[in-house]
Amino acid sequence: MTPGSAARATRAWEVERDTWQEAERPPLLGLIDRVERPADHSHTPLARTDEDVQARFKELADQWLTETGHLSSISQRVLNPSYQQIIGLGPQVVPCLIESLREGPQHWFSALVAVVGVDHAFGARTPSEAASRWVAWFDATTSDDE
Amino acid sequence: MMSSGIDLQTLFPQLQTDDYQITSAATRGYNCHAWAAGEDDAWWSPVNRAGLPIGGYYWPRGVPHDESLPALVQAFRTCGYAPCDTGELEVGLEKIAIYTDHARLPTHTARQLANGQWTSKIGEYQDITHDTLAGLEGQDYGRVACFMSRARTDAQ
Repeated sequence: MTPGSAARATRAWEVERDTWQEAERPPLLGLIDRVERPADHSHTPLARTDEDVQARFKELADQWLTETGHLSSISQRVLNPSYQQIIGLGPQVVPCLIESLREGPQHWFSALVAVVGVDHAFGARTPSEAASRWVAWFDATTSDDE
Repeated sequence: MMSSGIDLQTLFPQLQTDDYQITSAATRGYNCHAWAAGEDDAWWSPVNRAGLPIGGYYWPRGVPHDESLPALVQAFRTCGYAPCDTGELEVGLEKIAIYTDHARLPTHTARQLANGQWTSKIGEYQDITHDTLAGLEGQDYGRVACFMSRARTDAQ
């Protein structure tokens, strides 16, 4: 698959996802609720390698930081198209998000909740505490798999 | 501490005529609203999932989890702030200025220092001091929409 066709497939899936969300979500939920339904990627017409996802994540994360790093509103930052596309990468992006958190707190908490479907840092008061909890959850989960 | 190679004058062109100073390293540990409240260990945000706060963010208990200006004003009330008319320096009062965008949604809060300058945390970047509130006004932060004040307790 060429980068161009991958991008087209990703955009097609995003349109489908947005249509689905608009059709099925109650209208009065908060902004974050609109992006927090665990994504069903079983129908995604795109087979991506982990390397593809890592490269795409880095590209999107850099763009997102450039466009929103000076903003304080998490809702505004989460609604940025690059952040939405990171969420759209689905479960394969979780290791990328966790690796980023190992380097220090970063605002991937909403993305993790959206992709994983559970807030494993619920109750954490600070970004550092939430980052530690997500990393601990990931390490425990992956060690269980081994 | 994280590094930041951003150019504040590009993000906020009106800083070019403001004698601003960078006063901290960049950090994701707190944001402008927390800094305005006098805290440097929390990121204030009403972001939520089905009404429950998302782990990693702080929002004062009992304040609606929405992005509106009234909700942010209510959040600052929990720290002793009350709305006031102007950002003019008044002895004994610590003031904050809340910026909102074209939709009247809060974008930023600056806190007045005892010398009349303002201190702002710029997103996940640095703290700065700036002489005028206009220095941060523009496309991203919008304009100052309201002022609040409380009794000053520090010697800053």
